[in-house]
Amino acid sequence: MTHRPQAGRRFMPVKQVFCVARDVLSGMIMRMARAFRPSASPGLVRAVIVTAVTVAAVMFGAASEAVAYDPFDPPTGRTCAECHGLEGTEATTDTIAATRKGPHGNYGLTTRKCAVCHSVHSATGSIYLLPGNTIREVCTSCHDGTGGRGVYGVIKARTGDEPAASHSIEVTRTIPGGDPAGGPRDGAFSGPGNTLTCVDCHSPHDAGTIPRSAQTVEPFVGDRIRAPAGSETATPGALPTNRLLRRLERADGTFVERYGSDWCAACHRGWHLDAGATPETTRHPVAFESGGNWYYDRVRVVTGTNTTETAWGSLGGSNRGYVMPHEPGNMRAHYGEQRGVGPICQQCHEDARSVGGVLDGSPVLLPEQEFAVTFYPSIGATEPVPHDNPRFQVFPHESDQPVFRVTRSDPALPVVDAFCTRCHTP
Amino acid sequence: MTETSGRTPEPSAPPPAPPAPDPAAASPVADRRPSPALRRIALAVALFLVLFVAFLTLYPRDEALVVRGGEEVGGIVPVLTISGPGRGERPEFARPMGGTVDDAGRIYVADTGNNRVVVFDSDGRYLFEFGGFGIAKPLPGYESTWEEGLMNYPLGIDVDADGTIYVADFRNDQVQVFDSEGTFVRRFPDPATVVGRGASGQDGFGIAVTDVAVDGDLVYAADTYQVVVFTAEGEFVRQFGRPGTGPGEFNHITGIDVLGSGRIIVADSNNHRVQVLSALGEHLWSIGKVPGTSDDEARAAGAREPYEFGLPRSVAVTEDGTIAVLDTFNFSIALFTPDGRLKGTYGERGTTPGQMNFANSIEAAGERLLVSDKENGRVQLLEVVR
Repeated sequence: MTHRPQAGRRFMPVKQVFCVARDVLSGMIMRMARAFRPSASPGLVRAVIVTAVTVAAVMFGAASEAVAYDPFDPPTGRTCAECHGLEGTEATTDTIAATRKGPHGNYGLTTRKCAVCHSVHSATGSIYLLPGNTIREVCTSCHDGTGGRGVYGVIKARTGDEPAASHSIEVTRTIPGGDPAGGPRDGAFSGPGNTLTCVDCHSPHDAGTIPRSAQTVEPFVGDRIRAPAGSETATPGALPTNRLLRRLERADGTFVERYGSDWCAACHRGWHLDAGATPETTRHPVAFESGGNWYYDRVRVVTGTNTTETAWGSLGGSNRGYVMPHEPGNMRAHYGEQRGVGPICQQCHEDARSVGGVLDGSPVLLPEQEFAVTFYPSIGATEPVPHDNPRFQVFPHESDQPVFRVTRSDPALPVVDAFCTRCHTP
Repeated sequence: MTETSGRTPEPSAPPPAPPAPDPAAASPVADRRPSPALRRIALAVALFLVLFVAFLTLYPRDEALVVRGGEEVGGIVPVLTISGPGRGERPEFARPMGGTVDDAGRIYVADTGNNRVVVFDSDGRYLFEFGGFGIAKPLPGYESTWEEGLMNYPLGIDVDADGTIYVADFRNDQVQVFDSEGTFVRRFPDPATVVGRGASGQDGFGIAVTDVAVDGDLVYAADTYQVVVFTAEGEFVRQFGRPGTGPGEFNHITGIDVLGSGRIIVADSNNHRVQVLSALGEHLWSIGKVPGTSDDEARAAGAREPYEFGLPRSVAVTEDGTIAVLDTFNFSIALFTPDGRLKGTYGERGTTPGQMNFANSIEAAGERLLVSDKENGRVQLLEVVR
């Protein structure tokens, strides 16, 4: 998706008005002074002019916001059609994105949902007729943990420190491993100064038509999907959305249709198997759907609601499952099926899982609790049960583990060993 | 300076004698000097302008952050608009998400982004504040920085008849109690323990409490998917609710108030409805309809009015029993009769007093309403033109 530079507020007309006012004012004062006293001291007149201009500058400065507003040339730099056409496309059905939730869906020709976020004549922000001055500011207004999910800033709220890893929203435009030839590259994103921001990965409109970049990807087999109780089956296409993640464009111009390694590699192109310039032997093998070695249905998953029992199933298996295999060596146990198949990105780089022991208060998850993240409470349950709290679900926004690495959160454990032995039995 | 340092000083010549006054030459010079009258006028003008600039620059900010009155807009008359205490290191609010008014008219603001509560008198004059940032639920490997009275994203707030203040300390998974002067009294539940059969607190402990409502000796705490009831002393009484869309089931409760006769009313926000419940948690009736359901289906599920909310984030009950629902995504307030019939909708989006921009909470102040106008960074005391 191309993004036009955001036009700032239009101060130039104000400056011009100011200059004209200054000249007129100084001329008037000079004429008045001459008329009053033809021999008036030029120094005195200059002093009066300077003072008057100062006052005029203050007054014009105070009024600049109002003067700068031009309804026929909004500061977004976008035409009305670009906004009202839903990311460049006109709605052609009564209701589009009908399966999405909240303000991100169920809008169309007869609804007023656009006005939830966009205000045509009284937007208080400076971009896209939105209430905030940046995309992040707009998104976090709802996605703060009280309603909208996928919150940002949780780790700092619980540590006081910046997270060990984050996607540095509206901070950087540098993509680690972004250059197919190796090394980083700069991206042209939608945040201030072309920095990465929320809408570069998420499609808030999820138009469902064109362009492709506004559509969202499908979940991969066993992806961890947030779903209400009773609809936890996560098979491709079975659930309508995968966190409103965009179909990102690959280097060759095609779009990623399904979440997984390919989605990550749309930006981190240097880490794709086909990148070529980075020798595969220098890094851990990664499976890409586009590489033809996509096979994930032999990992441990929990078996249902309010249980910590696990069974073999698809990767993740449900919204109650983590993506990472559980039990050290379980890949070896099924080596025949998994031989030659590397993990996908999300198996090693996920949220930190540091949700703590859900039953005994331990900061370390018990093995049987590895997947127990999003249980719902049930009336009549006799034991405490954890359940879906959006504050737990922060990937891939941030992590308290370096580079979003999946590992146990107990600082007493050697991180690297614990990390490796999840799959590799010594 | 270095150019002259090595030079021999020139012999100083005697200063020339001042020229004798020449009346013919002095006259034009004297004419060019402003007369005393002109100088006085110029001085007065300059002084006025300097004072004017100084006034604009030094205009007292605490007054600038309080607007009294305003024009009716969208059926709403602004009475008082407060954007911050106007003093100290944080003179302005940062996304305030809660507010309440006590019997004396004192206004309490949960200044969420600044992790504090700010108190004003009934005329909007700043009284005092309390709070500060403290983490009671640190991630593993980190130390707690919480001390009594410190907060982490305070949301809802309520005051009982004695002036005791209850604050929903959202990210610390607890309710904090303060006396009427803002001195910490107690907290509950312990955010490191399990509440009843469990709640939404981080790690399964405590309550991710979004709002509180006090009814006599009972405190109702809104959790993501349930209501947890405590005594005012903090003893657990009961809990009810579960995730879902059926009667008595919830999807992100973000507001709660007491309806009278032992009933409570809950803003079941992501289900786009408010639910009226008995004190024991039995579903009685509701207003609104779950997205994707028809009016008939909503009525069958107990809706007395299948009103189509945008996002009902908060609910309040006024002195005469009117139910006021803050419809955040419609930038409006919907009023309903005590038995749940629509009276009207009021309000519009904007930044002038009386308008709203992603308001988050509503609280009754007699017949008036106090709205935390989050994205405008202010609270507003409003009157609805009914």
